[in-house]
Amino acid sequence: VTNPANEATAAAKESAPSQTPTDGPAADPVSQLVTWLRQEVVEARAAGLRRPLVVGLVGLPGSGKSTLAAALCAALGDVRALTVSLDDFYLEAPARRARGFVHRGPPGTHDLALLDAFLTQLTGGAATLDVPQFDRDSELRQPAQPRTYPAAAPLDLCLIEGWFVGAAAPGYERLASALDRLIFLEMAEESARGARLGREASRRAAGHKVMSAETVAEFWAQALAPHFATWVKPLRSRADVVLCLDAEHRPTALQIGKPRCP
Amino acid sequence: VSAKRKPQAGATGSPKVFTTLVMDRSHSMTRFGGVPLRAINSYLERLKDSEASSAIEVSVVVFDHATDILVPMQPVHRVAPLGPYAHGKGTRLHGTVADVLERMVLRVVEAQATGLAVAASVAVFTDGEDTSLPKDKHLARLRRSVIEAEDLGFQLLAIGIGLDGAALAQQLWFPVQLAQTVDPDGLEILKAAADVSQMVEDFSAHFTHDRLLKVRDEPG
Repeated sequence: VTNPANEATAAAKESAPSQTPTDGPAADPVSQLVTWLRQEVVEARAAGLRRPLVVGLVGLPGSGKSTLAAALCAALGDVRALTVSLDDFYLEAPARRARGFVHRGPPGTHDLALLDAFLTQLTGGAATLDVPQFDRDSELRQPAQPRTYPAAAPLDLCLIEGWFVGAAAPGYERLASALDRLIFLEMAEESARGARLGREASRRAAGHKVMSAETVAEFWAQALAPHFATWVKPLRSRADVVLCLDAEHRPTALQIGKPRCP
Repeated sequence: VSAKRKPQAGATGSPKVFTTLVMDRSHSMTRFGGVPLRAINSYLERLKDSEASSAIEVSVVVFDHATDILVPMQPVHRVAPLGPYAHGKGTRLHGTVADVLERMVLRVVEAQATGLAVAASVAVFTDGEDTSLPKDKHLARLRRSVIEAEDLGFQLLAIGIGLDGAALAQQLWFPVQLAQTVDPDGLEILKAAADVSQMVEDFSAHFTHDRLLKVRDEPG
């Protein structure tokens, strides 16, 4: 399985800071995405936006959002960018279970007060952002990571990734409305499922505390997949950009404006 | 959604019934201990065992000051029993019902657009008044979604626990004749859950039976 992050990293190496959207048709989809992001940041600044451009990155679990987001940030080079994962807003296990959720992941399993507080900082243009951290093994909240951006070098772009980022699920309406742009990572559900289950298997093999293979499959079928039609798939038509991935996670196309993957 | 869509002429495929159970989990419900959870699980079990179970998809939503979808919409046979949950402050009744109906309406309209014969049922169990601030902030949205749901032929059930079911139904614009008033007692809540699952079963069975007859009668 080719990780989109590797593709993105390779693209990043080729992507010069001065690259413009008028690059030739040979540019690969991730390079085009980097160029588009850079252009959006420049245009937002030119339009007088005095806070970071907030861009959501959404796609099915297993489609490679977090690695792609990190790679995009690295590829943007001179653009001051920050990646934030919705996973870092999870409720700790006891609080989650108290709300009736056995597993983390679905809408309702995040600390919405923490999310609101972060969005207030972000959209308020705060100089220091307290970026939440969550340890997946212990399911405990870790101390927030402060990120300071002085007035002379403000944060340009914040990429928020998560599998239903942008959806107005109950309690997540503020996040949905805070997004200036939305990138939709399109991958066939079966491929994404395979990748997600594979990742869990790798973590299990590495000695991490994870669910059994049967439990992961059950979790996917009962707690994740039924949400896709409601929260994830409708976002495709609302997205500003759709990055299409094949079954091997290779980017195949980037559609800007009117998303249509081949 | 403005047009009447109840009659689904030309609908094909296996009929499907989307059902959502909405349960209050505000602090006042703690007086019933684990009964509301048992009521939810017995409701799920009864639907699993029902004649129309293959057509039934189910979702379970709970609310206090916030709304949680504990079971996203899926075939009833796939749903595992729910585990215990804690109770919170506040009663986001109107907002929750509006959220549920809006999503159900969308789901039904989309399914109908693909030619599927679908129906929907929503049952709301609560023991208290909406506490949203500002007061009545979700009422307009609730009203709109109920009109759309009625247009689509939804079964809308209001169950008042220790409060007048008819008054609750009026407040939610649900049909009063289907409302139930339940004494604030564990056994009564379980009985009400059984009654409601029977009503949903009957609704589902009639719908699926009618659809099968129609499909059989349609030429070609």
